[in-house]
Amino acid sequence: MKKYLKVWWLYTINSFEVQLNVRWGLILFLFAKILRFAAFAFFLVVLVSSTKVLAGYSLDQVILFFLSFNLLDILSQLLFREVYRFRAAVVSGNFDFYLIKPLNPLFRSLFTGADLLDFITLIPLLLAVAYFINKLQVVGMINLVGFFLMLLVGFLVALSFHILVLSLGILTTEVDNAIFIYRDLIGMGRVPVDIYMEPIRGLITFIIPVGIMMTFPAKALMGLLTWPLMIYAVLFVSFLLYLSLKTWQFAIKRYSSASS
Amino acid sequence: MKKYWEVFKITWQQLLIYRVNFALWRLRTILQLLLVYFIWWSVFQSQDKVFGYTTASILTYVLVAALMRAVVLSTRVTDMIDSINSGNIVNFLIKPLGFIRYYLTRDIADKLFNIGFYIAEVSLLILLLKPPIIIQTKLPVLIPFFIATLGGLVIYFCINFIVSLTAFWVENSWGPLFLMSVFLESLGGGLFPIDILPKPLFDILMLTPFPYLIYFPAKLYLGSMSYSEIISGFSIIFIWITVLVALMRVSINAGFRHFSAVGN
Repeated sequence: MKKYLKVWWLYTINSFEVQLNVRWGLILFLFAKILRFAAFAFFLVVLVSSTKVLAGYSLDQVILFFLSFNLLDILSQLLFREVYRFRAAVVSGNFDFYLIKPLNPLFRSLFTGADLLDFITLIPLLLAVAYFINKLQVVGMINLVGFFLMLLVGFLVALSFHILVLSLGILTTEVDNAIFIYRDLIGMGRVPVDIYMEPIRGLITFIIPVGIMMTFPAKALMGLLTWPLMIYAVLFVSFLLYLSLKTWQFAIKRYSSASS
Repeated sequence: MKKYWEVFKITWQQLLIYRVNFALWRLRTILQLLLVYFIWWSVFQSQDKVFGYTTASILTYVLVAALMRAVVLSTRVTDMIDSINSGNIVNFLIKPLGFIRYYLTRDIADKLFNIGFYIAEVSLLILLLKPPIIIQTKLPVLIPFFIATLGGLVIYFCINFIVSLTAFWVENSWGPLFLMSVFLESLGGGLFPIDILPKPLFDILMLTPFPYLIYFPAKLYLGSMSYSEIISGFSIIFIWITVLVALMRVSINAGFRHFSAVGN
C-alpha cells in the first residue's frame, strides 16, 4: 500500500509538471472549465428563480444536486484521468511496458495521470457544498452519514465504469468515445433524475446507475432517500465493482501486443 | 472539382471505418439532447409559459438547436492541428490541392453525414416522446432560417480554421478549441435560448459570433423575431464573416511563412 501511495505521488507530481509546461493552455482550460460550471449554474438559477421549483425541488436543492454531481465528476476526473490516454497506450503497444513492471497494470492505467486543473477546482467546490449544506440547514447526523456513504457509492460506481472502459479499450481498440459516453451519461445527473419521464428515469436510476451516482448523495443529505434504496445502492455497486474487475481480468488475458 | 469529389468520398469512407466509434458519437449527441429536452419538459409540467416560451416553442427550439449542432458544429477542420504538428501539412505545398477548399470539402462531407443520422434519430425521438412541436411551413420564415444556418456554418468554419492554425505557433491548440466549445454550448444557445438571460448580457452576447451558430437560426425557425432583430442579426453575421475570412487568409499566409519542416 505504501509503495503504491509513493508511486501515485511521483506520477502525480510528474503529471502536474507536464501540465505546467504549457501554462497559457492550462489557464485557458481552467477558464473554460470554470465558465462551463458557472454557465450551467447561472442557467439553473435563472430558470428556477422564475419557475420557483424544478421537479418539486427548490433552487437551493437544485444547486445542491448540481454541486454534488460536480463533486463526484471532478473527483473521478482528478483520479482517473489516465483512462483518457489508455487507448493510445494499447494501440501503440506501450501497454506492454505497463505489464512488465512490478506494478499492478490496473493501478497504472487508472490512477497515474492526476489532473492539476481538477485539483484546483475541487477546493472551491468543496467550500460551495459546505455552504449549501449549511444554507439548507442539514443538521441530522444520519443525513450526513448517508450523504458520505452515497458519495462513496457514487465514487465506486465511477471507478467501476472506468475499469469497464479500460477493459473495452483492450478488447476493441475501435472505441474512442466510450469514456465520453460515460461522461454524457453521468451528465444527465447534473439535475435530479426526477425530471426525466418513465421509463428513462427508472433506466438511469436502477440499470445505468446515474441516479445512484449523482442524485442519491444529495437526496440522502436532504433526508429524501429511504434506507431500502441506500441498501440497494450498496448492493448494486458491490455487484458492479465485482463485474468490472472480472471484465478487466477477462480482457487482460486477451491482450495481444500491438505496434512494431 | 473532381479531386474534391474524391476528397468528399474518402472522408465518408474514413467516417465508416470506425463504425462502433461513430455509433457511440451519435449516442452522445442523443444523450446531450435528452438532458436539455427533459429539463425544459419538466419545467412545463407545472407551467404554461416561461420566459415567453410555450411548451411547443421551447421543445421545438431544443430540437432545432440540436439540428444546428449537427449541421454547424460537426467539423473536420480541427484535424489540421495534428497535420501541422506532425508535419503532414507540407502535402499542401507540393500537391495541387487548395488548402481551404480541402478542409471545406471534408467539413461538408462530415456535416451531410451527421445530418442524415440526426434526421433518423430525431424522428425516432419524436415518435417515442410525442412532443408538441411547431412544424414551420412559411417560406418567409424558412428562407431566412436557411440563410442564417449557412452564415453560422461559414462563421464556425472560419473560427475553427483560425484557431487550428495557431498550431503553427504553439504546441497546444486544444485549449482555445475547448474554450470555444464551452462558449458555444453555454452562451451560443445550445443549452437554452439566450434571450432568457438579463437584457444587458443578452445584448452583449449578440455582438459576438457565438449566438449566430445556434440561437439565431433556431429562433428564426420559430418565426417570433421582429424585422429589426432579423436585419440586425444578418448585419452582424455579414460583418463577422467578412472579418473572419480576412483573418483566416492572413493567418494561413503567416502560418506557412512561419512553418519549417525537416526530415527525410
